[in-house]
Amino acid sequence: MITVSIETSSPKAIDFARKLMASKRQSQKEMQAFAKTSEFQDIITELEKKNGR
Amino acid sequence: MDGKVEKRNAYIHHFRGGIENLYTFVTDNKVSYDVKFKPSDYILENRTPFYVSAFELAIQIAIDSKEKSAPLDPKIAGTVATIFDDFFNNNNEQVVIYICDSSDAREEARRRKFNQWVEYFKGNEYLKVDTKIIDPLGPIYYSSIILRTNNSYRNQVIQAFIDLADENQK
Repeated sequence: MITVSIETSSPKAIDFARKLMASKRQSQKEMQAFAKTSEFQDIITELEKKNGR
Repeated sequence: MDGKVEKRNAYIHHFRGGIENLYTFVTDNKVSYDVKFKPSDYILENRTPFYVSAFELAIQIAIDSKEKSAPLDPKIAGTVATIFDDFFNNNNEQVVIYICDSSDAREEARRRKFNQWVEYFKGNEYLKVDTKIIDPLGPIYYSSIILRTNNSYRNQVIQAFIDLADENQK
């Protein structure tokens, strides 16, 4: 992994970060909702079976 | 990882697909993780003179272990690496963007964890640009973009992020 590091307080970067964070929170809510579905439970059951093999 | 993760170091994952490219895996400690690559074209819109296929990465515990202190699990990093490979193998030109959740002031710990996971990508197959964004009115945001080193637009994408950080750029 090649890594480049940048540090900034530019308004554009802050705006970018805020938008990204808002989108992330939306994603988190969607994933939490999906985790309560029977489809998700079926996936987990299947994965646990496969892991156990 | 030099491009390949040996299967013994990773859990089997499920790819549900969909527009948000959802992957799921479950650990031996019964912790379930969701990994999502959500299309995010607006992020780089007008920042590059060409179209960049950008995706926001979210990694989340979907179901936590019933045990309060599950031990550190090195297979998680291997699984995340396997999922990255799978995702990038579909389109080498994709760019993935990650931001650490800062809503509970634990962004620094999340940054360390994320770096620990992607450090599993040993070798030069991937390139990461870390950006520490200091909001004088809010938290510190830790954001990273990850792309394949042989991405055709590598230099332009990196430049777009350098420009984003540059106070003098309009």
